[in-house]
Amino acid sequence: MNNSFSLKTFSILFLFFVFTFQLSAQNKKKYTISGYVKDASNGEYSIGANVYIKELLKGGNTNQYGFYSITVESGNYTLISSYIGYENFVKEIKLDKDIRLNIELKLASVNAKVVEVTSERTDKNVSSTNVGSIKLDMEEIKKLPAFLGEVDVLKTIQLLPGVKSSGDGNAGFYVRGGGPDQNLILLDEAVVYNASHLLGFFSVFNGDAVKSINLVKGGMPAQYGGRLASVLDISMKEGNNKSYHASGGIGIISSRLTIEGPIKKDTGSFIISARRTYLDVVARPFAKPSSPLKNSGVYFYDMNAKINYRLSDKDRIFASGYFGRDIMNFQDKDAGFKLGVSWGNGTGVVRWNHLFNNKLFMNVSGIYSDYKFSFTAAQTGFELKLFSGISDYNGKVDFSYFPTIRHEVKFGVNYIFHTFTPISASAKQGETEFDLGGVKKLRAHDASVYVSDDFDVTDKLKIHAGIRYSYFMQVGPFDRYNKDPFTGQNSSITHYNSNQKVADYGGPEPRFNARYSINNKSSIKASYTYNLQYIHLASLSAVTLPIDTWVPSSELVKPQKGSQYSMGYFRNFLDNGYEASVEVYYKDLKNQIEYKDGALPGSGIADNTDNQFVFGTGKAYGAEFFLKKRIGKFNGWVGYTLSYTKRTFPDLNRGKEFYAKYDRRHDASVVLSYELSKKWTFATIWVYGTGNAITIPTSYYVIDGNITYDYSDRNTYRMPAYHRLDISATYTPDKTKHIEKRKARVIKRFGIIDKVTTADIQIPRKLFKEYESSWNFSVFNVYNRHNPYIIYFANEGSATQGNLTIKAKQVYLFPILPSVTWNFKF
Amino acid sequence: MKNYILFTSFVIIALTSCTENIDVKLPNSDKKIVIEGTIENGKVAEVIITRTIPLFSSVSGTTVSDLYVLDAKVYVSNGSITDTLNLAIDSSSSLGVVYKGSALIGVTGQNYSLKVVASDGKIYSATTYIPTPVALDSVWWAPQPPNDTLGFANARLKDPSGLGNNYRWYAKRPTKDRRFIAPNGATFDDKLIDGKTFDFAYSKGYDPTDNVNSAMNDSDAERFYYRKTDTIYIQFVSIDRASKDFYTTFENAVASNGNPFASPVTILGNIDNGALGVWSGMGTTYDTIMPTP
Repeated sequence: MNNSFSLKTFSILFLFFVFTFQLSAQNKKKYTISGYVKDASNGEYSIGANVYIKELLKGGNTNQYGFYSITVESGNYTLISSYIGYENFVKEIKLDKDIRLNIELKLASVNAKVVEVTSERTDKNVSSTNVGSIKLDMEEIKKLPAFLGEVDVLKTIQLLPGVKSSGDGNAGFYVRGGGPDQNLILLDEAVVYNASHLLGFFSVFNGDAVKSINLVKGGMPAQYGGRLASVLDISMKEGNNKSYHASGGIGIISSRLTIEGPIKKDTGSFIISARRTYLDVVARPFAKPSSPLKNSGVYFYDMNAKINYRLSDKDRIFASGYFGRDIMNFQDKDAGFKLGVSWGNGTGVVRWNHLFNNKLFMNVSGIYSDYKFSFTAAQTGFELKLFSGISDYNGKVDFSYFPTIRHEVKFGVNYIFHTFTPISASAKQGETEFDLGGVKKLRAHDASVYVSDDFDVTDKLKIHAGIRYSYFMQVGPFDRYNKDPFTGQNSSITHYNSNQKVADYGGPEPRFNARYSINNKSSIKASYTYNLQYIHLASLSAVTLPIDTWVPSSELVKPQKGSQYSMGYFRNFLDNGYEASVEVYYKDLKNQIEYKDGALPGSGIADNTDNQFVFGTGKAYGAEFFLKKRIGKFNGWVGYTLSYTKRTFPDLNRGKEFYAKYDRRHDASVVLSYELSKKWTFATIWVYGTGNAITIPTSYYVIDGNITYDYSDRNTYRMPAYHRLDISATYTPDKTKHIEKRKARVIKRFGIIDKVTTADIQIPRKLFKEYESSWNFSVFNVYNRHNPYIIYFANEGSATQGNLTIKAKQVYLFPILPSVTWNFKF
Repeated sequence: MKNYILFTSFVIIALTSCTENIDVKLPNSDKKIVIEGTIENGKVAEVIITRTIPLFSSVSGTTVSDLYVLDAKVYVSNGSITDTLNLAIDSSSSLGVVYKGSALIGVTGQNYSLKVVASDGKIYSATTYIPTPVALDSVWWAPQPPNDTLGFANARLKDPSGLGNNYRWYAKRPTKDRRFIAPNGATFDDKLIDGKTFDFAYSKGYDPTDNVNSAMNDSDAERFYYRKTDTIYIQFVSIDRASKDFYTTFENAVASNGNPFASPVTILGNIDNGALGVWSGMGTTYDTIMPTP
């Protein structure tokens, strides 16, 4: 595969770019209209808003920073900007010189019967070259039922076809047959290595701090790389640059608070958002004094912060960060046993946007991201510490270039320095320190360049062609433990000095998407992408745990390679009120990674972690169906996926092909919301998914008097299907009435009912102009389905005494769970 | 270490989760033969042969003939002499019925091959090696606070320098146990301790074949501990790599039994043709811990 994308392919693509620019250079006098699109109420930049010329039905979308640029021949035009949830911006322009136009979009009136559909260009899903890409709006997500009242980005994307949840209590999600490590999760460009809190009960993304979510599950554009399956690109809010606001929510087990406001009006702003769960605090009073729970607890907290400042019309700077930790303590005083676990991510990003001219936009980013896991246990003199993690220093320069209305060119470079800490341990018994090999950090350089073009070839045909070239090098200091083939023991150590090359890999990654419009309501899209992935996550347990560690490509671990072919038919109905699509995909995966049979956590100690892996190939294919009603009081979507995911490892399952753990034949979701009145909104979710494929014992036998199991072929048993119904209702009290009621209560309380009327109490309008509050009532798992988290087997009795019985048991996490959250904003 | 991590996860889950029995329809599986054979320096070969049993069939419903394979032909050879093993009743063996050799006595440093011919004509074979035993430097009993009469068996080992030593520990109280029992974690190698002198302790192993109703049955207090007054026989064994792989994976499989978070542990055997189990040479030394005054 690698050879087929040699220099030849590269040069063809390169020629293609050059050729198309020369073509455009021959055209006559052109002018550029460019600027930023933002929300009129708070100054937040709008990502992916449409800006287009009505007469030509051509235009583009704003980039990640809200910037657009359109270059067309001189003339009189109608410029329209549209963005879901906002009123369209329409302006007549006379284009006889370059124009800078910053657009402020007004929120569509809260109770709009039907959002006016003024143009064909709102049919973005039909007209863009995006295949397998979905953008979600935070406001849309907030309407849906939330688990224990916490709005969750990751749980919402799992409702989309092609994205599969791994079930209750699992952190990962699976995209089109890819593993959880094959998703690139970005928060303001910083990689988030473990996106879950409390083993996946919550995601690390605080709904109050998130502006937009873009998920790419197929046809990955060239500016993204490093993962095979998907990109989840999450942008944080910038903060209101007009006035100060606070918002938050108080729930049964968690609360959150966000404060935002201008640093300088219309020029700079900040936002700080924080959350904490207090299940530990709530549960403690209920624990018996003798119970270990009295001194134990599980909680998480996290914080998001961002500032931005406009230095000039051409320069803006941003700084943003995230920090979160999950903490778990357990203490059993009687047994003298104590343990503490903590894990979490930290990210920091500094960005500079610069506009060279009205066609060339640049962003420079400096990024740090970090994931740490630590574990300590102590019992009567014995102390064990375990830790692992990954941290990255990352630098990026990205350009957007808008040469003509037909082209949008992106190019850039990226460099990352990774530091991996595979599971390392220290242990001591009393004064004796055990030699556990110390901390063996691994280091690697990871660099890439890319160029891509979104190109309107004809009115009907649009393509996105791109190429990325990536290079990865593991460097020293590093000790390779060489194995004696006879004893399997470490026989010698090869030492690599600091920055000495241990292993390196590289290659081109071509990306190609095309859209052909059949008419203005329907289109066919196709894509081919080839990706390389240099860092890997292998999981030992049947469930994802925070102990799972990232490892780099090395002499033994080759980069994962993935080719994806996908095709889709997109059609909109009833004035774009409904959108529908069918997509099919086929994926071919190489150098997939799993633990060897018999590997254990910790057997990488005083050894190289990669000595424990085996390698194989994979394939995945499927079809996705999606129908969405976008507008009106009643809206929502239905998604269905039929899929197959298979793996073949010479050293697993006796070399026979097996289904991946997360192979899911059927996956369906129904998401509906209904706005009954200004006061009441209802929403419901129903999900269904085929059970995970797992390995179970089929018979038992006796060794040294102990019962041991003989297992089925790998993953030949299906857990029962996962399905669940959630409902929620949001009550937003009428603000004016609410205040009148309060006034009446005050009057009654002070016994002045005969002296004053509510009209006499004047509250400055300013104080409650922005005040809003709402109650969210939700019921998770309405019909109390016992969805299996884990299935295991336990034996009771003894074989030699004739009273042995073996029982299958399932653990399920969540019964029916009602919750209530009070949300506020002022 | 694994248990700590799994335990951690369990604590989190225990806060919210519920466990219930379910019905599982098992995929089809064939019966397999299970061979557990050892040859020790100075002793004849012993081989226990059994079959796998469908998971949910209770043993009370399984006749003895379903579990035991009593009609196999078993041969052990050192390359020049072949010993034919005969069925014998032996109360010090885990299952009480064992094929025993007579002509061939195990010698340190020699290779031994095993051949089992089942009644259906299928042949299973394996080879092993008796490593040179490494004697323990010393053994003693030590109390486990806050107890002063209950404790663990302790030992000091001088590991010969050079990697590749694999060990397994068995112990027996002559008046209370009918056989030598390996506690969980009894198998270890010298990866972390190569060439070092170090002390270690083992809790009392548990014999799942011990009859709960017998007079030998331990009180709860003695579940993991030896009494100060116990005499303890220690069997300290050097084994080859294949045997170590078998016993470590076997011990992990036993330890993870009933643990919801454990992933299936594949026990790595060394017998060919689809048989489960092990054929292991045991370079053995014996020690005794006398009652502590």
